[in-house]
Amino acid sequence: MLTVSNPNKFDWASIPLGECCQGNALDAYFTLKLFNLCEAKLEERGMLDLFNSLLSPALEVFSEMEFEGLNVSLEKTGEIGKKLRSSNIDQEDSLYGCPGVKKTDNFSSNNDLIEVLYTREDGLGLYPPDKTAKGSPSVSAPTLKILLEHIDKELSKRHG
Amino acid sequence: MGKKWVYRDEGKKISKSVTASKTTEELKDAKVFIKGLLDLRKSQKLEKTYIKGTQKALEYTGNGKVYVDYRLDGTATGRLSCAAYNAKKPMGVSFHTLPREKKNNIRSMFIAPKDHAFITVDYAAMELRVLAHVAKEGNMQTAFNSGQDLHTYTARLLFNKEDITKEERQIAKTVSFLIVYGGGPFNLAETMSIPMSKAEHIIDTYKDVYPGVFEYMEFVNNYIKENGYAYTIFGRRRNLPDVASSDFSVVNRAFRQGLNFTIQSTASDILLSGLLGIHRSLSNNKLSGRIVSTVHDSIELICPLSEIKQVCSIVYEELVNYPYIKDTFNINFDVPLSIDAEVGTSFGESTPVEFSNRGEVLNESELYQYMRESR
Repeated sequence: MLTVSNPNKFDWASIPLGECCQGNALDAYFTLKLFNLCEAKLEERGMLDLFNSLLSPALEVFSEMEFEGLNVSLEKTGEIGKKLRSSNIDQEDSLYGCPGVKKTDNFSSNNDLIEVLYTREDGLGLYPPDKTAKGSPSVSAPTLKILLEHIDKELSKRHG
Repeated sequence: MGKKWVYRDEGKKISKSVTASKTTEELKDAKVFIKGLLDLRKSQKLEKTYIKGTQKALEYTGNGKVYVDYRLDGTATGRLSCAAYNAKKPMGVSFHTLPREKKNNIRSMFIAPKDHAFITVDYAAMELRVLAHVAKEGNMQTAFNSGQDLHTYTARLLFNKEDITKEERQIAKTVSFLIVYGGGPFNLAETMSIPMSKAEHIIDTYKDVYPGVFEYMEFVNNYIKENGYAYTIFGRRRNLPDVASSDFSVVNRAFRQGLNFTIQSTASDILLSGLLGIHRSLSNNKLSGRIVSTVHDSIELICPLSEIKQVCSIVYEELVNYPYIKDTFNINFDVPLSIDAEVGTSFGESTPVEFSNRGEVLNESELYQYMRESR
């Protein structure tokens, strides 16, 4: 309801019926007032047809979709989850086998990645093509892709 | 080197020269690590967003279903968007970001109930068909009207030869989308890893091949300059006040947004009209099949097994022959609209539907066999 300032925290179950009716009536009243204002603007801009023929009827279709929801297979979700987890562990293991990576490195930690990629003495010794807003070397996906491009270009140059 | 980082603005240049100073073995090691790291991040994101997110939603709803919050006004371009509700109501996942990847097949988690089929329908090359129509581009219209693959057709014209390689087709596809989204030779060179001179030559040839596209772009830009907004054939409009800016790059961005809007928004409204047409027709035919979601250029439905054939034909009629658009907006497209439909047990496990030119399902028995074997 428009009359409730914080609907997410509001206890809807305990609202007295009288207040509920009044609140909803006010909702309808203000919505109509808003519609009257918007309708004139839509007409003036030549968009009233679009609103009446497409957007307004679409609300019914979307509300049905939102109301019905979608069935989920718990079994399948668990199966895919298990497969993903195990592949993530395998991928982490293979990264730990790369030169310059320590067993204590955490691949979710930017600081550890900065060390492996750019600063550690026995690390990969690359130079960051980009930095973060705070000025530290970037390890974001776009930056890593730029690094990959540099490496690929260099490798293909060497291999003719 | 310590942790204190002295950073210079010429990052990319230095990065390149540092890369060049490495041995081949060191470069190969670095490549393995970076590729592995990118794959790991992607996979971890899938697990967090779709597996844990869906499990959390199922815990919250308690009925084996997830719910999506659709937004008709979620984008400036007029495209639909959807979200997964807020953190206080974790009822679902965002369908618009559901990956198509087949390795884990995340989409297969979303299923049809028992004795029902999951139907997915995609509009094929929708935005380029819209471009061919609004730009009145004769060559492009010829490709669509003769049922040819547009990108192969474009590649033949661009490279002036019959036999086209996969790479040449990819270049043609990339350049078509780049033009629609306001890209130029630089973007083409970067995306396809080709020399700048070749990219420039391809774009120049594209102008000769599809002159209507560039005339349309000029028309849209002039219209935006004069009126401060762009509009679509459905009557939707997007205000672009930045066109009055004194900053050339801001004005250019407004032009790009305007052109993009006329294509994307039209494609989105075609889909929305199709959605309404299907909804109306299912109800008129008293079928219990229903639309369950829509993602970008696609619509997903669920129907009892006994209704598969009828629902597929309705979908074909409403999306390919678009009576809702003809009746309501009096629009007839200069190019045919085309769909790819699949029937299966879930969003990610399905088999293609074959249609006749009149929209009849040609492989009904195969579809039923697939459904029987998949259960």
